[in-house]
Amino acid sequence: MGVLLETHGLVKAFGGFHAVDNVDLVVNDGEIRSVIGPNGAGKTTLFNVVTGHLRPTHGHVRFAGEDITGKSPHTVTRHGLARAFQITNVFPRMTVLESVQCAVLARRRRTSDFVTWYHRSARDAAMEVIEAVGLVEVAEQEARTLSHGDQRALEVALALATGPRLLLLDEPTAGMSPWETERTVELVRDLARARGLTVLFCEHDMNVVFAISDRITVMHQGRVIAEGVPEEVRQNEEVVRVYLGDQV
Amino acid sequence: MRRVGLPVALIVVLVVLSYTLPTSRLLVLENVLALALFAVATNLLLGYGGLVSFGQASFYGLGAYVVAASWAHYKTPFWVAFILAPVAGAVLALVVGALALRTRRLYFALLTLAFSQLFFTVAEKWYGFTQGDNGIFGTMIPSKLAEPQAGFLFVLAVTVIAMLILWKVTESPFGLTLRAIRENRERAEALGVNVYWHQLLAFIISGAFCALAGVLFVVHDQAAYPQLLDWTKSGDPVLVSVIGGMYTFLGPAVGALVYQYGHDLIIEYTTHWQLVLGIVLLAIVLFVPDGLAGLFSLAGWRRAGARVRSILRRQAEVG
Repeated sequence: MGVLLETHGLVKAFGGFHAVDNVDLVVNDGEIRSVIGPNGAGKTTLFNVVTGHLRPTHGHVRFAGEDITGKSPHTVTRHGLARAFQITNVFPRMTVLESVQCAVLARRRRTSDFVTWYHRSARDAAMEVIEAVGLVEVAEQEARTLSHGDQRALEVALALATGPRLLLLDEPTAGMSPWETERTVELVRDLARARGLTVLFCEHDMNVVFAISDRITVMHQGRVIAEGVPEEVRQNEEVVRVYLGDQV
Repeated sequence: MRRVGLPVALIVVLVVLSYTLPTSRLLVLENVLALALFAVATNLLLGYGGLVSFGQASFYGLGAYVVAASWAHYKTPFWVAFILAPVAGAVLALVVGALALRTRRLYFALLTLAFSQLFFTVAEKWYGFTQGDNGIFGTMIPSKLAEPQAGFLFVLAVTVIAMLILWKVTESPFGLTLRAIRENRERAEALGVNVYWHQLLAFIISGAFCALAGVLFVVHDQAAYPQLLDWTKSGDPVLVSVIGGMYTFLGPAVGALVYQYGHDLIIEYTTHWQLVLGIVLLAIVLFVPDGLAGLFSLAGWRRAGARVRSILRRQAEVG
């Protein structure tokens, strides 16, 4: 397995505060990697730098062998790194189908085509993704009318539809019911195994983290303090002290 | 079928009216058509793109001046100017949009306003070319088009074809993407959409068709003067779109009809037309935010009713 995503000496400083402090992260092709740590550990900032939403103060981000440091979010997405957001972030007045179609069209670089009809374009490809995340029944509903869990599933569908090699999930089960959480875990597992996607996610639910991660990276105060397979991380004394405590 | 049926019926009615209406009334209707096209073209930005531009009169006025000034200075045939005007509108929109779209929301609105004031001043002061405040008047359109009925049918045909093209644009992948950007700019960007480029493209298309609406104005008035570029003129299509409904394609056209005839009706009784307009706008924004076009369906009436009740209830609780 080759390296898919690699950060080298990544720093993001806000004034004197180092939100991300010298992070070297190596994610292999095909693995499910989680990033954990207490609130304010720098997980979301790290994701924002990787996806181009923030420009790093120092360091580099390489994806699939190419330097993507400081590239704009839409360029990063075109490289094959798609993101599902922590806060539900969909298109309220558009149907599930329209939203996913738009993502498929973006992948095909056909969004500035004004000669064909959108409701015919990319319909099959969009429906396939909608089926994968289990939203077929609500495909014709506007996103604003969906339940929280369904909106999160749509969020993942949008990221998937851009045809990524790496899917970046920011707290995919936040605010979900136990049943919805289970469905999400199944979905992520399925995406990684069946489609060969690489998944990088951060999450506070340790049951989810330990259930699906191949490897876990632990962050604290902007730094990586531990990394390894779940069993190693569970037994790491520093990790237990700063974060896990009596959670496991 | 329903979507096609209504517009086709409307076109048939308008053609019949061109044979039966007295000239003065036909000219009012011609005015409505030009305003409708101006509004629908502006609404590509407003309703579909979520971009509030207060400078669309620049393109409208430019369209009118291309016909009038090229006739006055170069004796350019109308048909050449007719083709040239939307091209000029697109080019000017490219320049304005490229700069204004670097900013967002209020700053974008203010920049478009600033540009339009700039062009207004040019039209007013560049006396040698635009004849300043006096404007350009004369027989700048073919004599055939100067006949009321032929002129009306021409304006109708141009409006219908232009709207068909604009409708096609809104129903294309580009139109869908434009809506996605309106709904959630950051998310669209994360999908790999180049937001700036799509908004610029929409701005150019809108500019071209606003200029075409300006040409229709010339067919109606055979004149061009600086007031066409005034910022209050930019307000017209925005108001009309809000009244008619900016989330439906023909909403702004409905708004244009109501605006024109409402205006004509009200000034028969009072000179305070602006006051009535203000009240109507207030009622629409409060009770039917989807605009009058939203009231074409039963669901629209129900939503409006629910809004009225909820506002009354809140008032009762406060009082």
